[in-house]
Amino acid sequence: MAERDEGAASTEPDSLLVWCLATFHTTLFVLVPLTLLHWAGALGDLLGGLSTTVGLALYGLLWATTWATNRRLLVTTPFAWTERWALSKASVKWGGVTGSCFFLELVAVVVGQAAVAGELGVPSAASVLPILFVLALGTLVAFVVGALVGVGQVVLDLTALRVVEVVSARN
Amino acid sequence: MVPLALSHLAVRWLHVLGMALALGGALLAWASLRLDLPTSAALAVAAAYERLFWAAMGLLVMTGVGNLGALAPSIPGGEWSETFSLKLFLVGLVLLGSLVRSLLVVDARRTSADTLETVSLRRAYAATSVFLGLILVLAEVLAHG
Repeated sequence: MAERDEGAASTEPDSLLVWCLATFHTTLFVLVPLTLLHWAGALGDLLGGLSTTVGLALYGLLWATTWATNRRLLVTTPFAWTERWALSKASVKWGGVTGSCFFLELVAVVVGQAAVAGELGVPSAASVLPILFVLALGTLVAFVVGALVGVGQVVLDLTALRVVEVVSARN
Repeated sequence: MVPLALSHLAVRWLHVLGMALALGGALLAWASLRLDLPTSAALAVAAAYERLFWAAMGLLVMTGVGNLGALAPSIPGGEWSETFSLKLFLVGLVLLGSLVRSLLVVDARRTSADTLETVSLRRAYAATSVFLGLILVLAEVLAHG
């Protein structure tokens, strides 16, 4: 796969590769928890509390965020089996960034919904600090979760890269 | 706000459209690679399908969750649940296999187009068609029993 020299780090990544990887990561990120929730019998309760429009909007946000972070990853890191260690480190980092960004987008959606419904008041001066603390803590936790998801995803990416190498070598 | 029935109908329609694009495109890509096309043309067909396929898969998973939401909170159990589990498993397999297929196309685009090995790609598109066909059958069973 894409062998690049050091100087090529800032070149544009293959848009097809970015598109495939971003969508693969997004779909799998949704499919795996969906399957686990289905097996646990908890899917109905979760989906029952989510409106279709909000669900589609959140999925779209996750897809766009993953595309942007995957693109940044591929700008700086060659997507190659020979670069597996660098790719693993970058996947953890950008997985974390995806998690934090998505958490903040989620907060923005919830706040936006409350504002549209006219349920959003002006926070008192005393509540600003706790709100910022919760936001910071949530962003940090989301970074860790995203980084862990990044570990799982890079394992699958590297497995696929290895299979491609073997198939290409046979041909 | 969009009326609930209308949004459910739109989600179902998009779900069917996504499957039509993914399965129809895979069959078309497979048939195109069976023809004696110039390598650059075969590669263009494959790359176009990969873009289309991932857009369709993203749409399918997104609207699939929306379809489930229409059933919530009383998602059926028993045989329906087992069939749905099998469908989710097959979707996971298609996603994993398709990543390999897409990377083969990305790799072929990166290297010289003259060295494109169409046999692996042709098999990959045939396998994609078969698995998507199985998922379609399961979707029919889930929808109509």
